[in-house]
Amino acid sequence: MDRDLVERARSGDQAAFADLVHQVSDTLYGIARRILRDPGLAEDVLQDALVTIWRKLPHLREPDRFEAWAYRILVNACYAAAPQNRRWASTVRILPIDRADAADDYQSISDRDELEQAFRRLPLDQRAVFVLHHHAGLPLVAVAEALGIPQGTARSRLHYATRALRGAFDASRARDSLREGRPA
Amino acid sequence: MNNDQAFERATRAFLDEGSDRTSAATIDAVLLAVRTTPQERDLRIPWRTAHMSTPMRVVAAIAVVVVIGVALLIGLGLGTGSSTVGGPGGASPTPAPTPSVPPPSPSPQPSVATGTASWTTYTSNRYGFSIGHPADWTERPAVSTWALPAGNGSAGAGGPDDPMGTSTEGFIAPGETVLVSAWSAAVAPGTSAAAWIQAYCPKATSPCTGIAAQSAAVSMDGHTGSLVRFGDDVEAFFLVNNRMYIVGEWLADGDPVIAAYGGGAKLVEDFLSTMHLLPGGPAASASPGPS
Repeated sequence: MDRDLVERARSGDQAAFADLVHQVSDTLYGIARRILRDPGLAEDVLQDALVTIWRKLPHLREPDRFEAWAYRILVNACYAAAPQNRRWASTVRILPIDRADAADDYQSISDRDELEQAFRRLPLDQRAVFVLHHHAGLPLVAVAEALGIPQGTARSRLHYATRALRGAFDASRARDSLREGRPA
Repeated sequence: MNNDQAFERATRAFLDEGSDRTSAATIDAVLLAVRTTPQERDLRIPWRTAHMSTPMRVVAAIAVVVVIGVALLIGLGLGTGSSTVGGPGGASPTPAPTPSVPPPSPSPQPSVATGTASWTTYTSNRYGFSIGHPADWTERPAVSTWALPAGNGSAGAGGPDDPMGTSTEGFIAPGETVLVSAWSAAVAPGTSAAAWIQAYCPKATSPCTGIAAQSAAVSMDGHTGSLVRFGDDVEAFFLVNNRMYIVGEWLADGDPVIAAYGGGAKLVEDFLSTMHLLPGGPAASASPGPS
C-alpha cells in the first residue's frame, strides 16, 4: 500500500482517497463477497465500509496498518449488514462459475456445491477468519490483528470452519462413491 | 490424489470462483458520498507534538499555562469556592475536596433509559468499573492503561477516540458509526475535577474555554459529575477517591449519525445509568495525570 497515498487521504485529500479506493476496492469486495456469499450485498457493504474508512481515516495512527484497519471495518460492516438484510436470510444465490470451469467434472462441481452449502452454515466470524486466511493470504497473527481478536480465537475459528467444510466434503465424497458403487 | 489434496483443491476452487471486480457504479457512489461526507476530527492531534519545534513547544506550554491561569482567575464556575490560584506557574491547581465540580444546573434524576434493560454488562478490572452497552455493539477491550501525559508528552499509540486505540474500553455501534469509550485515570491527591478537566481538554478536545457553560450535572452510581458538550464530542467526568472516571462518545452532540440514540449527551447518560464502580477499584493504577 502506498503510504503517501494513505497519509494524503488521511489529511482530507479526496483525490488521494479516490486513488486509494481504486487500489483496494477489488480486494475488499472479494473478501466481502466471500464472507457474505452474496455479490449484491457485498457491493452494498463495500460501499458503506469505504465511506466509513474515509470518515475515520484521520484516526488511523499508523498508515502502514491501513490494510488491516480497513479489513476490520469491512468485516464489521459485513457483520452489521448480514442479519439486517432480508436477502441474507432468503437468498440462496450460487456464485457464477467461470466459463473456464465448465469443463470441470461432476465430482468437482458436486464438491463445490457441498462446500458452498457448508460455508453458508458457518457463523460469520468463522467465515471471516477462513476468508482472510485462505483467500487474502493473511497469516493467523495478521488475521487476529485485523479482526481485533486474540490469536487463539482466530485459530479456533479457523479450526471449526475447516472442520465443518471438511466434514461436508467427506460426506459428499462418500455419497458419490456409494452412488458409483466404489469405496470412498 | 488423496482426500487431503482433493479437499485443498476443492476449497481453493471454491474460494477462487467468481469475479472480484468492483462495479463502476459502486466506486462512483463511494466517491460521490465522500464529496459530501466530512472526515472525523482526530482529537489526538494535539497530543502528537513530536514534530513541534522547540519554540513552538514553549509557546504551546505558555498557552496552556495562561489558559489554565485565566480560567482559574475568572472562576469558570467549575472549581470550588475554596480553590485558589496556585503558585507563580499557575498550573498547579489548589487541593480541593472531591468531587469538586458543582453542577451548574443539577439534574433532578439520572438519565436512565428504559432501553438499557437489555444491555450487556462489561466489567473493566483495569479501570475499576462495570458498564452496560447495547447487546449488538462490539466490545473493544483496552489492552494498555491510559494516562494523561504531562506537559507536551505524547500519549503514544491509542488515544481515547482512536478506533484502533488500545488504552480505553471501547464500545462500537454496528457499522462502526459510533464509538463510546470509558476509562479512568489516577488523579494526584488534591487536584480538583475542574483543574483536571482543564488540563485534559487541550490535549484531547476543544473548545477549552467556557467549559462550565457547556456542562451539565450528571450522576453515575451515586456520584455527581459533569457532562461536557465539547465541539465534536461529549464526555462525562467523575472524580471519585482521587480517580477520574470518563465516559465519552466522539461525535458532536447534534451530529445526525448519533441522533438515532437521542444525541451524544443522551447516549452518554444512558451508558452512565448502567455504570457501577467496583468496590476494590481498578486492578492496576494508572499513572497520575498532571496536576
